[in-house]
Amino acid sequence: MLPTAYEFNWDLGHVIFFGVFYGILTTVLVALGVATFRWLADLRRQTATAIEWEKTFQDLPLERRHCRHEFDGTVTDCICNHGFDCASCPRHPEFIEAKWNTTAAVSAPVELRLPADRLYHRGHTWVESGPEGILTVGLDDFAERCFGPLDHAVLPARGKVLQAGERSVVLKRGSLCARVSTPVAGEVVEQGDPEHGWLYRLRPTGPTPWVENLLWGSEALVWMVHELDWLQQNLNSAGETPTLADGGTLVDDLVQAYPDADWDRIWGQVCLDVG
Amino acid sequence: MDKGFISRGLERTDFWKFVLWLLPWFLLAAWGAMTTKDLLLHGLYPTNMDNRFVFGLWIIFDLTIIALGAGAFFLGFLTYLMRQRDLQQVLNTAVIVGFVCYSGAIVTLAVDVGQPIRAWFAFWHANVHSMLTEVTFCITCYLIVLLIEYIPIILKNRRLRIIPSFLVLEFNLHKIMFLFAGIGAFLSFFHQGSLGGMFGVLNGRPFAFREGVGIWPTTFFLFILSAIAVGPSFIMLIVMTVSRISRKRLVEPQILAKLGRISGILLAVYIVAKLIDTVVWIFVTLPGTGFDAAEFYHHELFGVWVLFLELTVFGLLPATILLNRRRVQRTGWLVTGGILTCLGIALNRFVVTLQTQSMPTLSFDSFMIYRPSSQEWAVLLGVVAYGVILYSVSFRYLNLFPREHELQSSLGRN
Repeated sequence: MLPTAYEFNWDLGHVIFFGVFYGILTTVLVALGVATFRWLADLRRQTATAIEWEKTFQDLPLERRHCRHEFDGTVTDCICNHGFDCASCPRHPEFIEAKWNTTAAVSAPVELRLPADRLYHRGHTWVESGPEGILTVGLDDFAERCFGPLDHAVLPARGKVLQAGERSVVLKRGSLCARVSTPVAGEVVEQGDPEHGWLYRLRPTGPTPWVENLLWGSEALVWMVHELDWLQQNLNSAGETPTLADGGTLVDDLVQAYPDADWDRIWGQVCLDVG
Repeated sequence: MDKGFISRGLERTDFWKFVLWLLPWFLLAAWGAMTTKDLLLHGLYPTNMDNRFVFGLWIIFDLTIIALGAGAFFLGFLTYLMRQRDLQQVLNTAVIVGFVCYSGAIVTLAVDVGQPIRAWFAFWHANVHSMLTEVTFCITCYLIVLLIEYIPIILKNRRLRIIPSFLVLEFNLHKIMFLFAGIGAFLSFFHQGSLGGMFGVLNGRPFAFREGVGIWPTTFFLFILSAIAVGPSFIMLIVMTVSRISRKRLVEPQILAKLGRISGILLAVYIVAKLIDTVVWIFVTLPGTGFDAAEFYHHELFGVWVLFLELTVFGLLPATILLNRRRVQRTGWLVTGGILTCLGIALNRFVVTLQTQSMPTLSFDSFMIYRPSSQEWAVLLGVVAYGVILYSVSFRYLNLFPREHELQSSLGRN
């Protein structure tokens, strides 16, 4: 097999055959080496969160990837291909421009608490600005009703530096589990409690404007209407009676109200988690 | 019980039902494993192979499953290099089926070659003039490539993907997957060809001997063509079977139709090539060596009907079915075409291996036949069982069909 083996001859057959074989083997090993090097470099640079989000976003069903500008009526049938990162979307400025000429019909068919002074993340968390630039993060009303009373919550410890999109909170109820994303990057300064309406407080880090990707005002309201539609479809597909068609109040504990629905999947999609 | 390991939104049968489904396959695999151990320890005496039938059931099986597994490299080639992105829906299945076929073939080949402690001789003391050396090298390399392609699918398991480093590894492997698809296609083209070439160069066996281009006899090219023709059909049948057993829509119907049509086009090309090859063999090659084709078809077991069956019922007929755009839209025709294509390739490998050896080559020789022993069947069934187990476990715990939930939901809404 090698020039050291006693059968080896320096003839054309041997040279071509082993040349091709070792060429392929070398290519495979080099490719594996490159992949390993990049893997270790990504881990060292702490880009795991960004990569996880990119992979998760690719696996999200298209119905969960609608562009935020659909909510304000600027565009129709637009699927986001930028991981909800509006800053990286070349059409975002164009949409912002068009937004001022559009008036979306906004109505909330169901009573949901959506305080206007909060910003909303597509993974159903809210962010509220406080004194000294400290931000409070909590679960929005929609998520709270989908999750209902929790058995256990794992929250990020004080001092932990979170990256935007990082799955920093784990919520459990029976066999159900949700991994909640961090809406903005920052250092945790105080741990909260889901039972008291907030998860943690953080001091934002990073030079980029952190509000860019979050929803607010009427945009958040229309998004919530879309989310209710989506939830209704998912409850219907479980063979339940249609709900929320023309208003009413969403019950506090949907899991208890619709025990046959695929809550494992719904919880995942509420948090934009497909794993 | 194992819900935490199953991807969100995928419905899978109850855990204990799944265990019950696996049980008979495990028993079969255990029988195969025990027989394999005995054969590796004590040699091939319990088999019915001898100096006349040096290639038996295992080689027929190997040649067949390697051709059936060709869907892995060919679909990878179409998806990554020819940019047929819609085939991504069946690519995971193609990789796993390819892995099962190639690893199963290597196990069977290892038992057939025997002397496991000298297995490395095949690599170290390689005979570069042997087609089998090329086969050994290519299959080994390609199995490594298939394993590399399988790893990202495993790493996307629900429990594994939450470990950040695993997902980052999957991400980086995925980025270079086009390279492995290219290498896989190169290796597979060559070893599929070498398997055919191995028979075509047997100039002492005029039934198999063929002339060709350079060192490559026509069988080299026919094996490549037939493998890429049957690969998509086999993947299509696997997806349809899994869909039927699990009662779920796993891929869009037009993807299955597309696989059928790809198979149909390639099968038509193969059949034309095979017809030309047969005509040249009958009227040029055989007379040149002093033989008459009729001599090979007067034996009771292998009459002209075998050739007729291979070329028409398992060749022209499925090609005609799968080439028709309207027929491939209908499940019944698609299944019929796919099954006939797969049977055709299996028959071809059977004929090339067994009929070649059954024919007398010397004047004092007579026609002989071989029947495999129970030990040979045990190894074969063990490999089949291993394949079913691996695929079943993969289907349950890995997200093999990216659009499964979406298609299932739309079915529910309709």
